[in-house]
Amino acid sequence: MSDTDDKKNGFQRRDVLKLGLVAAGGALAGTGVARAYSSGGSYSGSGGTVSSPTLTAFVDPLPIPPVAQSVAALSPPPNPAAHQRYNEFLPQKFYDISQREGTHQFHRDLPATTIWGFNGMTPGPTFFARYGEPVLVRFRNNLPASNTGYGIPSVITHLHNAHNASESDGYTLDYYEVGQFKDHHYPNVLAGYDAYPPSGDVREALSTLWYHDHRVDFTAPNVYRGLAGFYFLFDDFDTGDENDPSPRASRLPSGEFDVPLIFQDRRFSADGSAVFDQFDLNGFIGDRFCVNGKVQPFFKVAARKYRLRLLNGGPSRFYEFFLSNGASFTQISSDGNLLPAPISRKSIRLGVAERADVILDFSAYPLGTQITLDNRLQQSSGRGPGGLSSTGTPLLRFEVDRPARDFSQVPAKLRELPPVNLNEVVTTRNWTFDNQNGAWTINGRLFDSNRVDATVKRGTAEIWVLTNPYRDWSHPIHIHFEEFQIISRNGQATPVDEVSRKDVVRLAPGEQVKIFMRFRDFTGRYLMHCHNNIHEDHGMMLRWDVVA
Amino acid sequence: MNRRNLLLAGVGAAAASASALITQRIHHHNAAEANDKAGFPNPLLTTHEGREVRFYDDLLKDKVVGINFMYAQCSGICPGMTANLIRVQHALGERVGRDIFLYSFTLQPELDTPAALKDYASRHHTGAGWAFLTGKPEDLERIRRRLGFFDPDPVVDRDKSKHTGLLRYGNVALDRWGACPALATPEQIARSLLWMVPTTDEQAA
Repeated sequence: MSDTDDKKNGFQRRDVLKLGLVAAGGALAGTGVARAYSSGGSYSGSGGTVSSPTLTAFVDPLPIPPVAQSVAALSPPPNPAAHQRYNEFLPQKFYDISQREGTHQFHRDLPATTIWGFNGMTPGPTFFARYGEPVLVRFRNNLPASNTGYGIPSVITHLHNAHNASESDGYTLDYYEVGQFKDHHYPNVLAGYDAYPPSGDVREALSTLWYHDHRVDFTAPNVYRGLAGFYFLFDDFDTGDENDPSPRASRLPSGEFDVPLIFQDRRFSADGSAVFDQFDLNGFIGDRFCVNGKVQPFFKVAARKYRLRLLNGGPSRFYEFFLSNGASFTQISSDGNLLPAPISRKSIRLGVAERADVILDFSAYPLGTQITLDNRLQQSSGRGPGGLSSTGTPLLRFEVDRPARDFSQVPAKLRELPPVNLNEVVTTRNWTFDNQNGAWTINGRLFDSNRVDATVKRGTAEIWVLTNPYRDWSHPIHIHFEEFQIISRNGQATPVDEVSRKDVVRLAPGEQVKIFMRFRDFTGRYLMHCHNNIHEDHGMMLRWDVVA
Repeated sequence: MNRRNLLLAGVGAAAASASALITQRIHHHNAAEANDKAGFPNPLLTTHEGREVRFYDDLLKDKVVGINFMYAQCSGICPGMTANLIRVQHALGERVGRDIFLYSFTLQPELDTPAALKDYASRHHTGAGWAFLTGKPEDLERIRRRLGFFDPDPVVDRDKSKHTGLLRYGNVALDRWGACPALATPEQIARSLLWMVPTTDEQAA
């Protein structure tokens, strides 16, 4: 370390030292295991193992992330040779987004703090993309190089779970450093493009995606610092316009009535920064609940239908959502994929990275009605959830405050499922998600990017059997690139809410899930991993390749 | 001002988390904890060369470190880890011992005396900048737990033959820590350690 570095860091080091001493005392007292939490702010020391400050619920309005804006051109221009099928899916829009530090207030009564965000905000701007309209997004790493605390200012963005070429997928080893950028080519093309001319299999359309950091070994802290945002994909059925005169349009609630909700639990220091534990390999469980970056906000709604896009943004917690008045959700999608038909559900469980779009109709309620969206799933360890509580924690309060006209519709039929044709299956692979003395393994091995654990042939289909041997942990398993369908869960027929295309599947202790998956249109290296980001960062990930 | 507030908040919170039950525990551990620094245990340990060192003061402070847990008689993962870390040492060249340090902590301090570890190090031809460490079992236990090298299931945790193959890497000055398989390729591990070397904004610009 140079003299300059010493001077630069000396001040902070001393602070960390003082604070750490105090914090570690508290940690040992509580658990017998020293835990030191690192502060997200590069300007302050550890917040300790302490509980977050008490915060009043429903004092902040729900933030709605702004829509990502395209630019006329990028300088220097993108390099077509760096991308598969670039000229075939020639970008029609360009985006210039930077990962950078920003100022953020997680709650009215917490001081503002620094976060990392896409364009300096968390959640980042929401992309509105359309099938048939390829885009190119340049992500620039403008994070502070001299950062201290959890996370690393070195990034790679995964668009979860777009049908993208490997080089644009956000492969975990494709990270780049401060001052550098990477171009991601998002063709916004339907899976099965080659097999179903001219534009792919419409039954494979995605709708609610999200983008987040995927830096190897540091995904959990980097996303926890704020590097996540939404990406909506529309087509001529799910058009994003509830007044669309086209007879093919679904006319689902749109515009201000189509609302992304990312749920993230955190712990806060009194200085307003989010604190994190870099040493607990089981997972990280927060004691405060953020929706779109605010602790327990309120949302003033009109007395009409809303489309709410629920996303569990991690890092480790599972949720089961209920409405405080006992009403049901009308679920229309799972993991961003419109279901064959809407289903009515009393509760919705989401593992990390799982999504569910639901319709809530507030027209039945008098103005002034307040309804909370509650989480009733208890969880105290990063390893997995416990049981349901009878009351739960309110995460978001809807306040019906105005009448409204509503021309939106919820069609009785949404999107047909692509057929599961077992004749296409060329092989069955077994994957066991386990633990070896604290580190997380798949088939007994830790992640190694130089090892290809499955080589699949483009244009084929396979059955993958995912097993969680009987222990006390749960894993939300995510497979990049293509959606899959569950063909059985624990040898039984697929539960009704999982009759869908999915890209994350929850494995409770002792569970075994059999899935069917096709591999189409692109080649290269992809990932399967546990989306408990701490498990992912500590071994539970593997590389699989698609070859021509 | 921010910093002062934080400090005060930390004191308050630590005090608040103390209860009658855990007070007992504090007293029990008081002696060991009195030396803690920056949230890390700081006990006296002995290297395979017989040198007395403190965990935080001498091993962590101002250094980029790679840490694993092993024991000399292990016939499982340890020999492979040690052989791999030798390749890491070669890949990093003279930086090991200058600003990057490797530490192997014994899981069997009862058997792994400094002499036994010295024997182990010479048999494997490990180089300078890589210390094998032993000490009081309770001190090593605190370090192991502090770094996250344990299984919450006590039965599994007691089975030394199944100890983790992780290499913990970090830099206390940056408060930045990660972990990777100790059997990852030497190039990968060397790269992970280099991620912990601080970069200034000027260097990045």
